[in-house]
Amino acid sequence: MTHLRSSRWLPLTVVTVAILGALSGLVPVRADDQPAPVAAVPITSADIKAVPAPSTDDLAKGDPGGTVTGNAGDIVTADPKAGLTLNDVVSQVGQNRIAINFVWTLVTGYLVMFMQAGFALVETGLCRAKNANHTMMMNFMVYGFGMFAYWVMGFAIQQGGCAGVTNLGGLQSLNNEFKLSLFGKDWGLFGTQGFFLSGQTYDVGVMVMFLFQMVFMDTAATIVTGAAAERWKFAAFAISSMCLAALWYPLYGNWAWGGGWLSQLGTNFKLGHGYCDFAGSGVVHAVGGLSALATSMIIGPRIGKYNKDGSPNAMPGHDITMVLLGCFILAFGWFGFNPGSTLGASGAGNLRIGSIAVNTMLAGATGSFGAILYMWMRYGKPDASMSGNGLLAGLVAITAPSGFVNTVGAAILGFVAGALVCFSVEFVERVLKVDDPVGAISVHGTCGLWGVLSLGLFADGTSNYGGSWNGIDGSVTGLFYGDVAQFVAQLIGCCTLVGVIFTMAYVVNWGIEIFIGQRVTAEAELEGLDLPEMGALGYPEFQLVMPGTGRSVETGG
Amino acid sequence: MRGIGLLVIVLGWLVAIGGLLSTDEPLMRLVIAFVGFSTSLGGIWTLNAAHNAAAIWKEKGAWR
Repeated sequence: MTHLRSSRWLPLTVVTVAILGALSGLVPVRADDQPAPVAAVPITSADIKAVPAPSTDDLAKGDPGGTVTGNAGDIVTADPKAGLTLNDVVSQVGQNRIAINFVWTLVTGYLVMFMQAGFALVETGLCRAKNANHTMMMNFMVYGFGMFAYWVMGFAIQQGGCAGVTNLGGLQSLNNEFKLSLFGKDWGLFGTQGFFLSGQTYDVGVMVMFLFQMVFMDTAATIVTGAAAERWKFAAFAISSMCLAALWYPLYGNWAWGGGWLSQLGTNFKLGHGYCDFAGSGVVHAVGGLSALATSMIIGPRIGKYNKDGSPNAMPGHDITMVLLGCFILAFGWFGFNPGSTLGASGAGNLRIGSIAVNTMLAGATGSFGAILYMWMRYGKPDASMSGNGLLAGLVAITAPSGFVNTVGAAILGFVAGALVCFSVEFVERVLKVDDPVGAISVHGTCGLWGVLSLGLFADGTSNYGGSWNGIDGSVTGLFYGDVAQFVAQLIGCCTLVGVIFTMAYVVNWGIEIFIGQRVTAEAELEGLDLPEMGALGYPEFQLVMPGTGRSVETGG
Repeated sequence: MRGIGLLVIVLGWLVAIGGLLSTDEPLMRLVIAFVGFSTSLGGIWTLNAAHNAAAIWKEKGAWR
């Protein structure tokens, strides 16, 4: 009976404790109640020397508990005769912070590099079997083409004036930004240090920065291959990809991340913290998506995509397992993309990496929710490829705001992106009549722009990356938390993406169209690009091709 | 038409930048930036319409 009586009171007790707990969190603590600060005691060299280190004999016994490995004896001493000094300890602490940040940035960069495999699987799976080799090869070679052009000049244009990145040791050799003085303001346009990574930029920190930024650029370049798949001439693809890596991607990257004019909108025009793009919804995804739109418009739709009355025909991909596996690989790689964009894990507010990773997970999940609900309600079936695109849409959208929003904001903006991508795919296909076999324009272009804007809405003003962002003190705060000006800065970024970057991508690709042509012949397209363009079939065992006849018959299944 | 489309796209961006230089009021800047963004999107619409006017599926003897 006693037990029963106590269990009856248990819920009330729990509720009471919960209310009291919540109230205790709301009641401000008076300054008098705070513990008195303890005066900092400086450490002397004598203190350092007094720290015991285990002997060689102690260590020779083994350390199964891991309690003595890593100790004062492991600190590198400048002068062995003088023994361990305060200078040694302080230098080691400083180097350890930079080492942690180097390792973090490099490992997350390796994850982003692996996203190339995800893109290759998604794009190839969404294309027809007769173009498998060609689509896979575009995704494979864009890595090399893009990297070469970025090493030659792209990196210098983008990051050549970004000195002051304290997480990576300062990067003081990247110290020259070309600026134009107009209307009484300095407008940073492009960097000029780091061509071929030579001269003073032959530096350990610069190499880490290059690797991380290079894999980001390659992500943008590989977006275009999906939208232009199944009809893009390989030579035209090669030139177009190198131009993206050398010209318009680095320019926008400089304006947002390299100290350029967009990042200075806060200091020059009092627009919040200037244009903010934590990991690249705009710099990477919208640049890639808008380049994809420009290229697809120039190349035109695949033969058979539209009837004479303009109505579209479905052209399903050949392997949904590749598509969804690719989406999973991309979601995994995104843990490098977003948390890695802190460029460090130690100091300057970088412990927010946990929050950034959770935001990334959540937005991807709610993105797939949004897409599956949209398709289920509209067509009566949960569509697999659009569920995958919804996941990617959520991830693209959270990329810019991931470092500035809370989990509720991340979940909402991801869900919106999931529904938005379905609507956008239909709009691009049926209204614009632009053929995009994989939905890249919608996933990366539309949702990239949404990501940039959503930062200006949902940034909650709690982040603190060293106390300032883009040279403005305080935290980045969006419209829903009281800062209209930040939203304006984000909108100016979107205007620049559509007004300048799209135009550059269009003009350069139009030049390629004039000089070498962008599109394969109708015969090659009908036959499938594997033999005419690459000289080998992706799936020789189950595809019958009559070379030269312009026809292929898929017999698999 | 393609040239006009491209000009309108760039014009939209110039409108948005002009808003920054012409007023310090955040709400006015917001409105002007929206106008600029919409103008650029209109330019893309014009450019795409020019491409679709000569689309492959409208050609004689095209698929179906």
